[in-house]
Amino acid sequence: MADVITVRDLHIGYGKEEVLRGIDLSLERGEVLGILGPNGSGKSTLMSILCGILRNWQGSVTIMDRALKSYPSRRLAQVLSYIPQSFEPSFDLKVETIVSFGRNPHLKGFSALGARDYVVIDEVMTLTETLGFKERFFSTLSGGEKQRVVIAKALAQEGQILLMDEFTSHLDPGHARKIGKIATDLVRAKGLSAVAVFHDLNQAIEMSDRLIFMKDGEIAAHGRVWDIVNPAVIWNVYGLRAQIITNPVTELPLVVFYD
Amino acid sequence: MKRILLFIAITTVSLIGMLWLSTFGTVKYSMNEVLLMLLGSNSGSRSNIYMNLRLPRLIVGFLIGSGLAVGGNGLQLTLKNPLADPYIIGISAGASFGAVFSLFMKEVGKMTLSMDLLAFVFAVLSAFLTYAISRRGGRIPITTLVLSGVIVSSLFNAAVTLLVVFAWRNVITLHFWSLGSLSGVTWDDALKLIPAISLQYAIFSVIRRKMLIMAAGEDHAITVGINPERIKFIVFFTVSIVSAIAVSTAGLIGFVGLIIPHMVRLAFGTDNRLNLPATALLGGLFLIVCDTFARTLFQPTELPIGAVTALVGAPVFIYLLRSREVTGNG
Repeated sequence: MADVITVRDLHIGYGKEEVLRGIDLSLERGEVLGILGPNGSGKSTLMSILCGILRNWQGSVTIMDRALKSYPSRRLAQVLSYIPQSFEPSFDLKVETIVSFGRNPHLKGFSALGARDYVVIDEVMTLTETLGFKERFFSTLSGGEKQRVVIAKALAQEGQILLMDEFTSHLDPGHARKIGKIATDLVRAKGLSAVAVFHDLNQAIEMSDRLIFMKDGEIAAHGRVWDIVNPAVIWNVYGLRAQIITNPVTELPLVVFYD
Repeated sequence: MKRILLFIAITTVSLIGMLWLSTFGTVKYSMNEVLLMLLGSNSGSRSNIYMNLRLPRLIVGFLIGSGLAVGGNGLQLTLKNPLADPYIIGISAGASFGAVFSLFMKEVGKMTLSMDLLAFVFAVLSAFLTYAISRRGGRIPITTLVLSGVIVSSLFNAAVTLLVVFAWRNVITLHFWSLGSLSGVTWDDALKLIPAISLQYAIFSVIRRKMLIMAAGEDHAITVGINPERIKFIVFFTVSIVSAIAVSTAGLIGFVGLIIPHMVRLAFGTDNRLNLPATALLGGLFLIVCDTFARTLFQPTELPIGAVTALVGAPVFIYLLRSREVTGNG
């Protein structure tokens, strides 16, 4: 298995405080890597670095065999798409316009959208079931519909890697499951790879192939689901006592907190 | 389709309306006479007044209105702020300083320096200053930019107050200059404005898609492969130059750059491709309407056009502020 992302000894700080203190991780082609950890553990910072928003870090990050810092921004957006926690444009934009933003990395200079761009837009909107409201204003959509549009925009970039930052945490449990499933199913169906930050431990277990637990800017534990989801790790990372049982439906671990 | 019809309707009404408005004034014309003069008939002094005073004023008014509205539209999108207008970046105070400085030089230094030129130079200078102050590590954070605009404005305003102490004899000239007026504009002004305003329009139409992406956030722009600093730089300096030319030609004319983009967004939608042409057209039309009021309401005395645009603009602005677009999200 080839790695699509390799991170070695990644550090970043704001002022004197170090937010990430030597992160090592790799993302294999075709897998979903779940990232967990308490608030302030550096998950979102890590995501911002990977998608090119933060630049003042030290260490080495390689994406698709190329150093992250050597990517021109347009080239990076061709291989990697980012799905944020929430997406709130300041002005009323149509759903289709927002999805079309995902084509920007493929447009040269100032050229307009071409026939192929519209084919892609149509396809990703069909996949995410957003085609039905493409003419509507984004602000009139429900939270679940909005996130589907943002997923469509990310897919329109046609990158090999998806970065998802707690992208279902604003949704109710029903929608969170549905949207989470849509995204991970699409990752598998299209043979993509994904790094996903999760809020909900059990959702992460269900949707990821491997998990990373972060704490205080370091990686506290990592490995396959059955290997690392245990009471000791959860106590160490979250300071909560938990019991692990087997989910009778999925046969995956199910974390039950009890304090 | 509905919007295309609306656009065609606005265009037609604007063209006819602008000509109709140009018939009013101390010298009155009929529509027929105006059309004949435009087609080349010469009826002596009446057509002289029309062709050399009324018509350039009409065209300059249209250009300035358009330029400010298109500039406001661009700044609002790129700065992700529906309340931005071309004066937010400090150029109005810079231009005032340039104007008062020329008066000061005349009175104290016995030197005659062109008021328009100094206003232009200091307007551009203040914009550069705003930009330089807010630049940090190669980035221009939007809040810092807006705050620097405020600071640079108060700095230049303080300097204006100081110089007024020395140039008090001409304070009335300064006062009227700062309220704006289209009286006395010439074909030369039009020739100066046409390239700048066309260039601004052309630049904004080619980078419009990127400006819309910026309106959804700078971090978002980065993730779809845009360098937000570059777009901000282009928009900032295009708007600075165009507004500096506008201010040096006709003084401070507020509210056009603020309310016209809003009205067009409400009528056409932000991402409609008619948004930009409609902004240009309505901005021009709005200023001509205001100028007609300024010229004719208390004729032969002229009102400062800045006062008229503020009288019309402020209530519209209050309405918009209380309506959904500014307070809510979109």
